[in-house]
Amino acid sequence: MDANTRVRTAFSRGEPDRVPVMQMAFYHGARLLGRKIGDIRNLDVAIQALVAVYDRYEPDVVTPSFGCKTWLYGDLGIEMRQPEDGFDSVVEPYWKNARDVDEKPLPDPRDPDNILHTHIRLLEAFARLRGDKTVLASFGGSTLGRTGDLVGVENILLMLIQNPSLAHKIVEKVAEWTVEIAKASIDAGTEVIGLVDPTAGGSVISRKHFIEFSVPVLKWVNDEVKRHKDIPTYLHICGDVRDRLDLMADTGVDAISIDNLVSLAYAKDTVGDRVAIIGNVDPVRTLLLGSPADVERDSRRCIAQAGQGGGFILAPGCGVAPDTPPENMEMMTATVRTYGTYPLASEEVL
Amino acid sequence: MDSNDILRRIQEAVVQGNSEEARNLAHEVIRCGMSVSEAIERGFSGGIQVVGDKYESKEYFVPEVLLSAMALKAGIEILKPHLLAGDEVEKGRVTICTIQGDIHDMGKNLVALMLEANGYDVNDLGRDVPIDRIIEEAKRHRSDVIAVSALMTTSMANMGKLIQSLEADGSRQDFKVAVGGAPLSQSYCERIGADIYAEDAAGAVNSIARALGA
Repeated sequence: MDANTRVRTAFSRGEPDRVPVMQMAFYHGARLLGRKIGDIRNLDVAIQALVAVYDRYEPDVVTPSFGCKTWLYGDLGIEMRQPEDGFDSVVEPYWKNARDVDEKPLPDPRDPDNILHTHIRLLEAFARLRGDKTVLASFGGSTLGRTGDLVGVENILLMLIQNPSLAHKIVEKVAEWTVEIAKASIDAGTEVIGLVDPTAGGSVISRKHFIEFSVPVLKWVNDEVKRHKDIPTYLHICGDVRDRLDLMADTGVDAISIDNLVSLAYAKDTVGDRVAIIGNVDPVRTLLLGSPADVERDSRRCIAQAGQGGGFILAPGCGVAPDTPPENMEMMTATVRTYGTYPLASEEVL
Repeated sequence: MDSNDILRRIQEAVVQGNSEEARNLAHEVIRCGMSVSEAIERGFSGGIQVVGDKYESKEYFVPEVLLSAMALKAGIEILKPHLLAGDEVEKGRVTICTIQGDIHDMGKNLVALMLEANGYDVNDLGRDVPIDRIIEEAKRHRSDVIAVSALMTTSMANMGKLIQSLEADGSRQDFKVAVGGAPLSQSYCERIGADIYAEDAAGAVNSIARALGA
């Protein structure tokens, strides 16, 4: 079975030939090249990094995540922190008041003169180089996370209580931009779109705020993506999401990717009849700090908890740290090849 | 309004995140000559403890906590200059920052504010602070604790470097080192040789108090 069929089968809650594996390890790819994290701002390095991740680990799904923040926000003319060997971040908000939201536009991802277009060129280049062997996923973005970059995280969180109508307006505007980036990414060869919302978890906002500010927008983004092209979509929210798994499934995505704070067995029991489950090898304790034996144990635990009957993709619970040992990464692929073939052994054997 | 009434209303203002009311009540404390340290400790600090409990029990989330923190800050800013010398029983001295390589400071800001409300002398260095500067500032401030946070796994590694630098400098024994942030854990704290770990802001205040034998 080729990667595309395997992945599509899992996303539609079916049982493929074996459990697919997904890697979110773009920055780790820079390390595989012996480069610094900041070098990834250079498109050629970025392409090589993503290719290196595929060539070394042969995941069924590979993703450059958000790309890098310089590409996302470099057109806005705001101060950014761009360390030589660390992640980019936004230093000052782009939208400082309600008027800014109306007057200061977001860049068009399709305009070749925009820095944002670098992300699209990366996807095009990777699809051309390795797209027939693996499924390319791209993050369509998020409701509150990206909004936090544009107005400040504390500001948007306080706004949910203090000025909900402005919060709605900003979240919707960012969602429209997210859809444009997702559509351009699909046209560039992306075959799976992930909606990622790091600020919408149960450690950050209440279920009530999640229902009010995130769910309708995520639903709309998912519908728009599907209307553009009928490809699989997933939703990843960091942190403890046990109290909102049902709502995550309500957004209409094909799969839910969960952090290692939530048991895969619980997720499968709760919403496994509506969505496929993606997760959740611990990216810090297991992948970054553990041994290959720990990775094998944790991956087998994931397969045992959520693999039965299909509808499951093995993945890290969140983005992989750049300095993760390559032998740990290799072990995820090795484990699905050894223990992930359907029909799976009984849970006791796993 | 007697002083117990005022203390109760201060707590309520903090719990409800009502900055205006917190400011009014702080002025009221000064006007009627109440003990400023009592207003901070039993009123404002008491209120933020309730907020911490509500966060723990998932009644409150980060937006609600941020709103309460603003009310706390608003009141304390007014009261602080009125603290009498010797009025304040200082619980300890803490130098705090987000570690080099990281600008995520929301959690750190909450911890700093809660420490201050609980009677600690807090030296907040901000975010993305180089290791050498942390050590220099902690010495100058004569801190008991160096508290550092990280949200990203890349910057988390700098916490271990901070401890190595303290050791190389011969000043490791002068400070307790507290670490926190989403990718951290008790086992990572132990692995890098830090002294204190907590999952959230309220936990940080308790753990630091325990480590200092309070």
